[in-house]
Amino acid sequence: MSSENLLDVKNLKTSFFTHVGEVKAIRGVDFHLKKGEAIGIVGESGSGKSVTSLSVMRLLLNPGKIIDGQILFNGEDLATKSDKEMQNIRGNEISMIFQDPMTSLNPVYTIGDQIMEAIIKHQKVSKEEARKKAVEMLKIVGIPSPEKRIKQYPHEFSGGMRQRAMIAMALSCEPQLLIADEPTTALDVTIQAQILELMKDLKDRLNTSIILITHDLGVVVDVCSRIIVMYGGLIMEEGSSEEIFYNPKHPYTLGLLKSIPKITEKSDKQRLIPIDGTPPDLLKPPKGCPFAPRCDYAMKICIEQSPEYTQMSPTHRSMCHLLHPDAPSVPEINGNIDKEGQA
Amino acid sequence: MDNTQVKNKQNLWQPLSKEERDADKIVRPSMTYWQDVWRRLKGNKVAMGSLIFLIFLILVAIFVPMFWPYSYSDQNLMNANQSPSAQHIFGTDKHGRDLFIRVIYGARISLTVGIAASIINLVVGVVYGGISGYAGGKTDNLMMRIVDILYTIPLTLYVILLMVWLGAGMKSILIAIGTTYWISMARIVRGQILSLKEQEYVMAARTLGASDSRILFKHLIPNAMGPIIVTMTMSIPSAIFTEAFLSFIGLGVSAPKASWGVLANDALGSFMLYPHHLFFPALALSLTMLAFNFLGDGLRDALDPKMRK
Amino acid sequence: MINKDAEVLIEVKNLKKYFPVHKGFFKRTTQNVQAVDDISFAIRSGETLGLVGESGCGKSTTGRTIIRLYEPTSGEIIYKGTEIGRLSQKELKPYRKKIQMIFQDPYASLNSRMTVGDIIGEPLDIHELASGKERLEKIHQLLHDVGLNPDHATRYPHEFSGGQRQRIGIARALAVEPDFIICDEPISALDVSIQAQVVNMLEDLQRERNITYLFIAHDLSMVKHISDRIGVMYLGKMVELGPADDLYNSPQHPYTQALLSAVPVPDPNISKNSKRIILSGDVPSPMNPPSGCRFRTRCQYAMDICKEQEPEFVEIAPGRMCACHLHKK
Repeated sequence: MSSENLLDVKNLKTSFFTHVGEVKAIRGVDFHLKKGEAIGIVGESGSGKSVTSLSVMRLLLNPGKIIDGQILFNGEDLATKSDKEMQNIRGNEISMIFQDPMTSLNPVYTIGDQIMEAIIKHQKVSKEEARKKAVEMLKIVGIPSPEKRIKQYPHEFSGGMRQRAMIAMALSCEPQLLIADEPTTALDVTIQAQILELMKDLKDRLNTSIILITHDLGVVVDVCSRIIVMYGGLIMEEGSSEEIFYNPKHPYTLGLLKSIPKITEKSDKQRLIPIDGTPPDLLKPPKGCPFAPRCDYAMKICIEQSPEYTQMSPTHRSMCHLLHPDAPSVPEINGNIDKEGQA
Repeated sequence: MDNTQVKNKQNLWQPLSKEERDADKIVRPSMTYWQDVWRRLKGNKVAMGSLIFLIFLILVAIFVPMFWPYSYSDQNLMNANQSPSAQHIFGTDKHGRDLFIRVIYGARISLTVGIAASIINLVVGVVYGGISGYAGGKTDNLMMRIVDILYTIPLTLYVILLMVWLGAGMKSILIAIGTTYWISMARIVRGQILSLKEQEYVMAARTLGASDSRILFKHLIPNAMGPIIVTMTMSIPSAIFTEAFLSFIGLGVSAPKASWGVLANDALGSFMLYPHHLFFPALALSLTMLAFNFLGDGLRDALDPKMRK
Repeated sequence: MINKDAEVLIEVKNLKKYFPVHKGFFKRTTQNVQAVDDISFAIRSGETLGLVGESGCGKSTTGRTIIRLYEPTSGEIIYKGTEIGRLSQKELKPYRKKIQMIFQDPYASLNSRMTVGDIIGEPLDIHELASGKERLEKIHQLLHDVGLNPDHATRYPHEFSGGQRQRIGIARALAVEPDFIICDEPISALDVSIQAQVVNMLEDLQRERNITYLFIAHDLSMVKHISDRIGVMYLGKMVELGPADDLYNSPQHPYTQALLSAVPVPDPNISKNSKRIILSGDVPSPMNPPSGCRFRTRCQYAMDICKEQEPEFVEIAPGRMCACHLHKK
């Protein structure tokens, strides 16, 4: 199983050592990613989703540190690599695009220069060849008149075009993995649609694996085949998009789905059902389940012990005490699970 | 599994009450903005050292002359030009006056000038810059052009001319410095106000119907306090040095009053023979200016909101 | 809740807001950014009108011009029959008790140097509505009304989460007991699970106090949920207006159609089968909008007439307004 995986994250733990104490941002995260697959990591602020991607890329700034776990990329552990070794991997094998295209592009260099920088560094080709490749990349991401655009500066591009340029830069060395951290959050909805179509198209064409990090459940359904739901530094639930949307087995996932309005719903003004309370402060992470304070089904065991994962199908697992055979019956969560924990 | 274990296990599955869930708890200790600033400043050893030095200097300047056996004007020609000794810690000057107490008096003068001048700068600069920045448009343009023109006048020259006109003495020095140093403060304040004006809480205040003066004094200036304090702290060494310089060239405080500048002037003729005449006042002046500069730097770092985690 | 017989609370007629662009040494006005260009609509008492559109369409500018944060370039703003667009700031002050605003950024919309109690109490001070003990009681009551602990009145904004801060902002707006609240992207900066809390609270407050809302947002699903009627804006113009359900089920304007089809639906089956209308190109510059219909450069149905003549914003069906040459009456 693991030899097929492009990325295998095992028991990853990352903390930030601040002046008020250790903030345990990620507290034991496992997931894997196959070649050509697109997975989504969904969560709110403080869930640890962005920190996960930064840990994989080893881009954590002081005072953040990976304190445990392995990040196996093609079998090699990225967590132990030196900064120099990581520089060869970033932009080359693993690329990342960020939320705000305004600030992730350097305003004093042309778009062409910025794309060529990665190509020249990693592929050791001449400047002329790098320029040709850069033009080709701009064409692939759908920027019109690429020959002209390549000499322009970021401020001459619109928001959507800048994000395309970022994607061009990220994919210029044909990485095996693309990490996209909230790539469309800052964009208008029609531009977002364009960018998501582009990402899907490129994934199919170049067979790039994608980790898409977002808080928008609609976006993740569009692009990804598998979804990971994070909360309080841990993975609450993981499954295929159908499993997560039609058969959620975690109160948090269920809560999220109930609290978002559906544009397709008939409006007899169905009330949204919010999740009370706020995400936990990871300075003093709870010893039990992080979602317990906000969970409608919370039991005493939930604040005492952290739950184990229950595997409902080869792709679907959830971390909830309600899935334990001894737990009281709650139709929404464990309705169709028998005593052995099989779905 | 025996009975107690079964019971415990059953208890674990009991639902939690709302209070037990404690969902809106505030975990971190409550810290106001200024407590946070103080904490950051405490971490800066150089700034703290400077602060302690300045507090010490102020206390010495206030209290030591009260019990010191010598006064700054007691002459004793028999003891002239003595090197530092047990009786005279810094030695004596050419008139036999105790140099230590004269340096302390110099501290009094310098600190008074420095702090008083800064307060004048503060008031004039904040009001002028605040109004200019808040008004914006043509008013701001006009007020800033006036400032630009004033800025081109060489400060030292202006102060010298003013002193010649007003005559020597503390009051004149204060007037001279007070009417010139406010310009940097005004610019800083104006810059701050210009950027803060666009913040949403200012818009909120306007939609509530707040008057312009309320917005300026209750919302904008308190939020600009950071750079204001830093500018004020950093302008003190300039004021101190200007006073020392004026006294040095004879336009400031005059003998037998003991400003550091006067002491330096006194030492001019003889410091090759008696280096301690110049050394101690110069040391005092340098250390004081450095301390204010380091403190100002430390304050700037501590107040910088970007560092706030 | 639309009560068709309810009076018109606020009306906007031919509102324009241009921002001059200054160039050159003497800062002459060379061009104008036509942020809001001749829009008209009315909101009935107790109603929620949603205003949607993408960046640069002018929806936020509209809200801010109505509340006179910006001065209107031309046009009328009418509150309960009185024209308030041209009143001086002094004459406007009593109306500030009737019309309030909630802002987008929960971190920037509260003065971090003031306690929560002072922030909520400020409108009471400005309009001299209460003082001393009475003032404190009012503040505690307001905190309670928005679901916060009254004991927290002595704390500072940075001690609260985003959702809680937004509630403090709402309490501040409620202090003067307004009829009409303009919500300028009030939930965009909040986490998904918190958005529902704030939206529910806004709905409850509307029911209890009969408040009218202008809800400006770009999250189309949320706008549909909370609004009775919705207006769609593009490049300073209003292109369509109608009841929420009708508009979303059968959008008439090509831009509305494209906008709605672009919204990602959190449902795998629907998402797989939906046909997206992907608009080509970018939004033109508001300084130099296209002649005739502003949307024509990206519209798949563009005809010759669209270049020459600007379509009028007319009623194409009862309660449905649209500005498009495809729908000539």
